Amino acid sequence: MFYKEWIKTRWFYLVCILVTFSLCGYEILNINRLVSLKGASHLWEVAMFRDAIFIDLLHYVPLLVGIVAAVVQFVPELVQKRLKLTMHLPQGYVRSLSEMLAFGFVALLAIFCGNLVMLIVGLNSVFAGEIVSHIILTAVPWYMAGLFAYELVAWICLEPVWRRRILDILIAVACLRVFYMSPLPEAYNSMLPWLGVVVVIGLALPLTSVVRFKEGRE
Amino acid sequence: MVGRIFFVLTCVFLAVWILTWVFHFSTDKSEKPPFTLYSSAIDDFAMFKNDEDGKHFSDCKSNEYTEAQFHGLLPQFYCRQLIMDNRLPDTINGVPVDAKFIQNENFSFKIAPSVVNKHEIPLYPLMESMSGRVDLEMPDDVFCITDNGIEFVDMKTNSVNKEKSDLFMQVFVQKNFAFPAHIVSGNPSVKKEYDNGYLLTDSNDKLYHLKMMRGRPYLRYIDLPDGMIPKHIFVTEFRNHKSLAFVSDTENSFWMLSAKNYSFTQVELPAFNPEAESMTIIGNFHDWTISISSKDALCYYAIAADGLRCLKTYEVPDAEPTTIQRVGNYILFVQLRLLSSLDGDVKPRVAFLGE
Repeated sequence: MFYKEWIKTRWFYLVCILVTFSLCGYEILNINRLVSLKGASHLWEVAMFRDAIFIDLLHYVPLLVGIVAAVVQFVPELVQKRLKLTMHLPQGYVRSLSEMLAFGFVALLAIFCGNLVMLIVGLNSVFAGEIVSHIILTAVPWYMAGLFAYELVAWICLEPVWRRRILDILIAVACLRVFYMSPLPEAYNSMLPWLGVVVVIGLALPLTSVVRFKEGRE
Repeated sequence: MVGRIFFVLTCVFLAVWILTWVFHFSTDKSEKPPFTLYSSAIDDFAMFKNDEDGKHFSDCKSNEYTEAQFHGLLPQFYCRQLIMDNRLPDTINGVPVDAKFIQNENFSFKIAPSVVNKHEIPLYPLMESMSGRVDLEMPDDVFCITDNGIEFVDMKTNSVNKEKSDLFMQVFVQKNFAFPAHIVSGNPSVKKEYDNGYLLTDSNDKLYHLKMMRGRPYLRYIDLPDGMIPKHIFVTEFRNHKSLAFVSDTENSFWMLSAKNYSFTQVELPAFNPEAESMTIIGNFHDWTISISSKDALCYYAIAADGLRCLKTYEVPDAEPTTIQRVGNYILFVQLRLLSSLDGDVKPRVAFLGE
């Protein structure tokens, strides 16, 4: 199952790695350019007293990546009617779908962790650890939104009934709005553990759509 | 099963959150309170309101004034206008005054929960307090107080300045400062008249004053009144050099720390919690007008500048909730918000019956 998913999505993930790491690299280069233009002291002051985090370009990138990842992985299953075949595999449809979801989730998690590590390394060359953690804590909810978006879009794609799918889209939009409520740095600190729990439990959401699919609701 | 429970809980969460938002978006109204200052001339609060009907000048006893009369009631605040009108008195409350004296003594101070509760980066620039220059300059380094000591980090090289860190560390050890610090408070800005450094409390809640003078560390221990534990400190740096800071303690009492002799004077106010209430002080050499606003109330206090006794209070009547708001609060008996004006945090805040 993992191999099948890899064959299906490898080009997407390759592009995804290129784009996200390039954007992170661009942000780091941009910070270094600002250091040479205005001096490191100016950037430190702007970070400390004016809520600047310097990586605003990445705000919606994980969200988009999460959405596209789910579309690339699950829309072909539906369009080419492969999902019905998956239902009849000997290992059981819940396990099959869980493996598909696990593949996408782990792939995204690895890319996002890689992005964050790259940012930490790049920022550490310019800023003190306190400023780096300030910026990274601000960015973590964006990456959580990307993972949750992947689960929600998978849930919507796998839903067999169109009317219910529209309701699911509205719920998904409202859920993702929660991740973008405040532009202030570290606004989500106290909520991060809860968001983490939601993202993990959210993996069960697409399974409800598959159960409905199996029950033959159309 | 887990997915279904998660789906139901998510729907309930979103429904309550969205309904709360829709309810408050359609019913909440904010009315700007009149500009209010204590006038020693009438021993009452003078108010100015600008609405559709024009400008209104009055006091708490509903006496109406003209604009020129109103300026005369508050000569310290409208000093420049009175100079222009050639009406500035020679004495105010028996004290001979001129424009320079009045402007030197006037100050304003504001604190809001959104600032107090903000996530700040624990790095602080320590300016030179005795540079001998008119303009203040930001230093090239910042200090941080770790579990074991004070460190100065050079911003250009992003590395610890060991020599300077050791120099300051010696003084901290001499003064028995117990690391880490609980509070570090200062005004790291060059847009001020002078620099008074930082006030710090150590891990035993002892208070210290830290400055850098001619490149040398200045650390002074400050005696606290019995039983007083500082919770929030606001370094003032007013033009008159009289106060060093305002301090609120764990009992929500409010104190002024004198810059002259490091003594504390309690301001005669009811409990004030900077984490939940806003405070504005507009002061002059004779009195201060302090407004404290919370979610439910707005109160004004006239405080004597000498002794910080309360001279008068005025509570602005709270607007009665409309019928729609009252009914809505019962129908939507559980309300959920993710944002608050008290802080910038995003987290669930549940209220019952519109409390």
